[in-house]
Amino acid sequence: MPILACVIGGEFPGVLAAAQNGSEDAFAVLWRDGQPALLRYLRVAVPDAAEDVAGEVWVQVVRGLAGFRGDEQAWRAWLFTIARRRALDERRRRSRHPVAPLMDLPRDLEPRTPDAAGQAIDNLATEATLAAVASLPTQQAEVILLRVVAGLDTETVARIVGRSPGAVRVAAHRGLRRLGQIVTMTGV
Amino acid sequence: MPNLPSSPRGSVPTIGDAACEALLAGNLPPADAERGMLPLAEAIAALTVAPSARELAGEPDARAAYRGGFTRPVRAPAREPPAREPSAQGPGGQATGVSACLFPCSASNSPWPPRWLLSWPPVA
Repeated sequence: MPILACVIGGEFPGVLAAAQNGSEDAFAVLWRDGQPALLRYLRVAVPDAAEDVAGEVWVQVVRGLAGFRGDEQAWRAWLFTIARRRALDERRRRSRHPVAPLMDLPRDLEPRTPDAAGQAIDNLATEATLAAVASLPTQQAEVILLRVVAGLDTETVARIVGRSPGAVRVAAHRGLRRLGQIVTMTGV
Repeated sequence: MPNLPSSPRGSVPTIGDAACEALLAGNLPPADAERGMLPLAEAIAALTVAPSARELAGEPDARAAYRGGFTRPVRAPAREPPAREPSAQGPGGQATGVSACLFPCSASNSPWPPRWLLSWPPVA
């Protein structure tokens, strides 16, 4: 079982119920469980806006939390369904309002935020692998991330991406094969 | 599809369905991977390493969003049954509905037994 997946386990129903009844600490448990996987998914889906989109996802989760029913797998499926929609919204928004390339900006307008240093990569292997996954065809990358990072099964991923389980298996298989080629060549 | 040069780490073996599923489900750690599968197993493992401090740095913001946006589920109070007209269906009251259909006498204020029955059988 991946470290990121289903880490709450048997305590999930109690944690969820507490969060639904106003326990901020219980919500924090859900957040700590979901946020790292969410960020890794979004870093590939919307590389420049992963943290912003993740924040929007959690706002939407908070709004709908009281009405959520289901186990931990369903919870993750819900979380990543929201994330996927928000990522698609962000991509559409950017396609309508393209951002000027950084190189076109005057030097004094280049973004220099205190957070820039925080963008330093904590885990080189993870970042390098995410970059390799990002180079895959979109559908293959998405399926691999939803299976591996989100810890969802084939059927759940199929529902989220709106394809058949067979198509998801094929995409995952092709994506893994290609990812294997990339990491073998580049030594990621 | 890019033309990938030959690898110094060897070629990628064909990934069978079982190995594919094991990788995706996180059930093929690098320690258990065959030599040819090792780079891929390491890559998959890298995707699922424990969260970094940076990935968890937004917790205060998330808590604030929860405090600001969470609304407790409002449970509708148990509904009282609608007030009913005082029923005349007490002792000697008026039956309605099915009972009125089955026992038409009881649906009217006709006395029981009816007069005609008191004089039954008719005297010749």
